[in-house]
Amino acid sequence: MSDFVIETKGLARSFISGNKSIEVLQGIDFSITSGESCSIQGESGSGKSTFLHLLAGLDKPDSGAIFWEGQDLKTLNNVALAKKRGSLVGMVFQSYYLVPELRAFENVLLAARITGIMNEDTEREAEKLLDRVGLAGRKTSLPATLSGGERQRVAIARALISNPKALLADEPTGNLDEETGDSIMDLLLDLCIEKEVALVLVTHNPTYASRLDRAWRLKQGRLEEQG
Amino acid sequence: MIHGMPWYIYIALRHLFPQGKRFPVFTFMSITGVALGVAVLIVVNSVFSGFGHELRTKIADTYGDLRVVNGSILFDPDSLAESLEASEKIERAVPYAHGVVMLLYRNQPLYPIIEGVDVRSEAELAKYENYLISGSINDLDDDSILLSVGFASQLNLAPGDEVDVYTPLMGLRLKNSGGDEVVLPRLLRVAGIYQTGWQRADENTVVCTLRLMQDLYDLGEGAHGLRVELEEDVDADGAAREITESLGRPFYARSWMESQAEFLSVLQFEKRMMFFLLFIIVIVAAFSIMSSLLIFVIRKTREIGLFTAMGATSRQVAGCFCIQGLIVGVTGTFAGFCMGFALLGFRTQITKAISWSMGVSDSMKEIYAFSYLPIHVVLSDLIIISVLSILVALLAGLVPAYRASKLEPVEALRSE
Repeated sequence: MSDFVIETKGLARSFISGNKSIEVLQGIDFSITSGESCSIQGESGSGKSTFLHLLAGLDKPDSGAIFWEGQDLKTLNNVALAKKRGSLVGMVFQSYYLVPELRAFENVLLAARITGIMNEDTEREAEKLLDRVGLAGRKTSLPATLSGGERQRVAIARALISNPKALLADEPTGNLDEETGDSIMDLLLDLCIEKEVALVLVTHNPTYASRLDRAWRLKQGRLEEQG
Repeated sequence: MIHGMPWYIYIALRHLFPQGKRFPVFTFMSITGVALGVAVLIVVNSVFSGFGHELRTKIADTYGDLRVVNGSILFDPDSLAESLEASEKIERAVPYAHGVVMLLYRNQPLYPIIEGVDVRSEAELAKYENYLISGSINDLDDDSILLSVGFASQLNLAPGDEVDVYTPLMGLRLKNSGGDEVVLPRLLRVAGIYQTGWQRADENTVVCTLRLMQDLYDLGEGAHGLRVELEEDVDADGAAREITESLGRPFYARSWMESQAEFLSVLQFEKRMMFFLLFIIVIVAAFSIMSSLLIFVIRKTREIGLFTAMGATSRQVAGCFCIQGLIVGVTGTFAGFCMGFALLGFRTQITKAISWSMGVSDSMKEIYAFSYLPIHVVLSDLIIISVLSILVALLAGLVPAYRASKLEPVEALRSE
């Protein structure tokens, strides 16, 4: 098995806009190992989210290959890909994407349900995670009654409930004020270190990027490692 | 929480019945639509079956479960009756005779069917006693008749009135005598007026004793056939076939169903047509489920992307919305059953209230000879209603489910 949790080779992705083809990503080679963290920075529209979606196997590249623990995603059918995604990748989004009909605790458990690892231990693990993200007293709260920071904490707990190998976070502090954003970043980094999860963080914030092991920048479709 | 429950069923339930919120309008409207359709189907089907059942009972009462004839005259009906009664399937076999007569009242002639019943059988008398609306069964003797209500009202006859009766035999006798013989009509008293509720029997039938019929038709001790009552739960058609086979030609047993096959098929056709027309309500409800679920899929687009990001397959996503249609169908059908049976339970009060509000009297009694709204709940009807309603609701969920499953996860996550 490969040392890399996620690896890409010569990844390219383009979109058609009108009559023009826009090359968003061109020949990207990227890899991340377990417990490692890296940031992806770039201007708006530079393809950061597209890259993250490709890493998560939610989108297909025009050319190149994506490997999860050494396995080429092209070799997986849709069902196998979905199953593998559920167990290998956790995702955190800028807009949290909590299910409004579910309480905080149920939102966390939803990922375990979808992954098919739901049992009493998972419930205990969800409680622990909510305690860990500082929401011990808000387990039964509906998302509508939570603040932005609290919702993102629930989303982080949800992303980690299935014990993923990699956490892909798409501007998780983008909708939060500076103070709350800082605390969310602290939490995210601490949890990834604790659980030895590879973290790929898409961010505009250079301070957050500087706290991670490696920093990458997407520019004109190319991924460049920062010094 | 139920650990083993698949996530798509869990989410479907939460979408329809979210916690900490008021009952969603979509869920309420969808379930109510199906429930109303199912309730109307149950009520109308049960009432139709009730009318059918009542009419069948009345036909079987007046015709008998089956009749045994030989195409001519049974000269020794009692011994044949005795041999038939030996069968454990047969409760009783009673001779009868029937024909047509001319009845004259105040120079007004009518040509009713006349049926002679064996007054030795108390059960036969009791049957007619149940249908008497005036007069007394005890007054029925060899010089009197019972008139059907339609016939009595046509001639404005009441118990105690007397009518002249001519038979075809009298005409024959007159012809054979070359006009030398004076043929006098038989003067008969009206002993009572009956109403069975079966229009054909109530239109123009006259009932008299078998002895009177034997006399009028010159049958001696004979009869035209045997009216057979079967034990409970014995299939009349099957019993008729068995009797026909065992007696051999020229005997023939004909069940009441066979004798009224045309009428019964009309009843059945009416019921089926009503079912078909009313099922449109359920189909309309299904379209409302479909449009609501389609809007729901659009509203939940990002959530669908999220499910995929968490490892859901497109088939599971489709299942989530399909199951919502199924849950609406099952819940709506259950609610419809409760509503339908509640309406049936209060049917008397409801029909009275309708009659009162419209300022009309209890008109059913005048037409159908029963003052209540008859119902007959048929298990197979209930099964068909529930299966079709659930199936239609499930189909209504398929289109939104297909649309949800075809959403590209990346597009779904990006949607606003």
